Amino acid sequence: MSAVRTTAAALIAALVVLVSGPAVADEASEKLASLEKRLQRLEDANEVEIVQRTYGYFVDKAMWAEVADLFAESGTYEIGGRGIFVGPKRVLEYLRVGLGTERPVEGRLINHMQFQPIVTVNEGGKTASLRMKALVMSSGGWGDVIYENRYVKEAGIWKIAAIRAPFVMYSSNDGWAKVTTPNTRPESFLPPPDRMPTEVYLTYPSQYIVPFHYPNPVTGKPYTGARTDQNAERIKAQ
Amino acid sequence: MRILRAHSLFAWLSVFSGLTVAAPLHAAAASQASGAEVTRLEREVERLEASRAVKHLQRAYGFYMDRALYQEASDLFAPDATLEIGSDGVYAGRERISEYLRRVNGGKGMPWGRLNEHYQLQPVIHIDASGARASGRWRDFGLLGEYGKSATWTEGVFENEYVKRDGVWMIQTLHLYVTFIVPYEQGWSRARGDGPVPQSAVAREFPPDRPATHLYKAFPASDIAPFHYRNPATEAGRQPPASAEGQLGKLWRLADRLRSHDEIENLQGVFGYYFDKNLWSDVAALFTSNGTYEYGQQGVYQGRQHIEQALKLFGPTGPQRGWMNHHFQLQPVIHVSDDGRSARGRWESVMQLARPNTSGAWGLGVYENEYTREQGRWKLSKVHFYVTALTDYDLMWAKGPIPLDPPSSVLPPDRPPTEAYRSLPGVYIPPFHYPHPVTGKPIVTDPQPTDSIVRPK
Repeated sequence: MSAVRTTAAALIAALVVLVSGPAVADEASEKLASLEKRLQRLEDANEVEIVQRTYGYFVDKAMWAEVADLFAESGTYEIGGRGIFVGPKRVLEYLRVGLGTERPVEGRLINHMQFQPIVTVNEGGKTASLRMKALVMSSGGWGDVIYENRYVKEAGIWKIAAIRAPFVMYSSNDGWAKVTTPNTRPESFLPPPDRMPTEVYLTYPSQYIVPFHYPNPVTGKPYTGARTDQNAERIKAQ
Repeated sequence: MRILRAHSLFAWLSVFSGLTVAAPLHAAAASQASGAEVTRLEREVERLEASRAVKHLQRAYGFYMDRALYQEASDLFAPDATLEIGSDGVYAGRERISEYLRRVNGGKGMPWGRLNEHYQLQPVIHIDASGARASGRWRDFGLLGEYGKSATWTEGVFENEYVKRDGVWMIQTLHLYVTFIVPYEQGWSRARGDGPVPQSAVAREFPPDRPATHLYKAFPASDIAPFHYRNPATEAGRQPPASAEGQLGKLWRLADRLRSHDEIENLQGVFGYYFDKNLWSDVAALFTSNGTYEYGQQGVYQGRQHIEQALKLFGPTGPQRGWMNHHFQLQPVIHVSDDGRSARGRWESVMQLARPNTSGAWGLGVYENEYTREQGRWKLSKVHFYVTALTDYDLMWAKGPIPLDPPSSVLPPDRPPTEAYRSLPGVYIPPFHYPHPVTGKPIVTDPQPTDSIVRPK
């Protein structure tokens, strides 16, 4: 009996070794693969931020060709209420025709400081979303912008898939208590857009809540509340 | 599969031949040793993710506050969190925080005509050894207003704490040291008023749970929010990981580059917070021993000692009443070299400047800096700040541009400016250290238009 028991114990011990030895190795390599993915996501997030921040540096100096080159072939561009421009060529036309002389001009200031990024690299690591803010300090006055952008990774390079930049407020150097400029519209200036705006909204003093691409980081709940103040609704209805 | 078969054969043989199972146990131990290595790397990855999660949390707070989503904002706090803004005192617990945020911002929702922008800028984040707690210093810069009534600037510094509970990062302490809240018409430089920052009407109607923990003094007093960190030059360095081979080595090198990226972002933020308050010896300590410093057209200063002297051109050492040297550190584009020993970084700066009895000034500029790793610490080896625009607060960009200072005759630099250019109304594109991120081509920054003095034909 005891001999049988000893044999059984040895057998079990051997089985444990049999199972655990290689399993540990497999587990380790599986773990490494998952860590590589997590590190890659962090690297991707950094690279997406670099694309958007570089966009800011280019806009500051009216480097329109360089801005257009940041877009993917089907990339879209939507600033304020001007509607949607599709593809780098249309983006370049919008910038050159709509926003003025390419490259810096004596006496002109158009800084767009980019900050407060929240990047989400999506599952699969080929697309990403970003919410960001910009403060416009220009010779014409002040601007406050929220971005909700998308990016796509093509052949290892992150490109802009969509810039959507709803303005919160435009004002002159007299300050936002005295002067506010209403949101731009598709016909505000040439050239005309390829598509109509994603959403019609009014800028300050009206309120518009730009949808968040991410849920609340603590509760995990997406924001589903109102997007505009009642006054804006009333004006739109008229 | 082959390994598995060999193991199993050996195991069965050892059972039936009465051999011990010692040899296979050794094999298992070897796997477990590399398992420990993997666990160490996993902890490092968690740390890197924590740094991003904490920034996400603070920025999400800003995005909720600017849209008056106070419930969503207070949901970011731990149940036992505290909040302290200026002299209003300490509000404890998520519900009290939620109510305070709502009241201090004028009630529920965002009424027509209200502006409540609070930018969350310049993070300096440290994750503690447990990996479950973190501290962060941030700059709060705000545009507030009521249409037809008021436009207001505000600036301050946060010293916050974060905690990870059940795998989720939450705000544990939100603590804002307000530097100024001033009307747009007058700006910060004319701010008067001595003594402590007054308590808001909200705090009187809805009293805090505990009194304020700090005697807050607004500008023109120069109050420094206590730093949660020591000068990084005095901290022990972090040794880069030993050059492990194979997959593990590759991942450690990637993790090290990401960690370096975070450390450099911290370093530049630390530099900015010291500069704000004329803490010149602390600024100089961040440089390598032969580091260089160049500001606008003032020339190149080399070595910590000479840099520290040059910094005094921006004002007397230490916080000074009526002086403001705010240099926001924004929009980093950081590239760490493949060998992990050096790095470059481009930053954008907004400057808020004041000297006693002046109207104050705005400034804009771009940094193109270099960093070197010395004994495991990242240091500034080259700070090159291109001042692109400076203007009088009242006159603004079109009417009030201020030309750049030439090299000092009192304290001449070691070398003349590396590039001659003029700030606004002149135009200049500071060169980029990196190629176009999509096309990979060098970014062409044409020289400034011909100028009879700076750029003769």
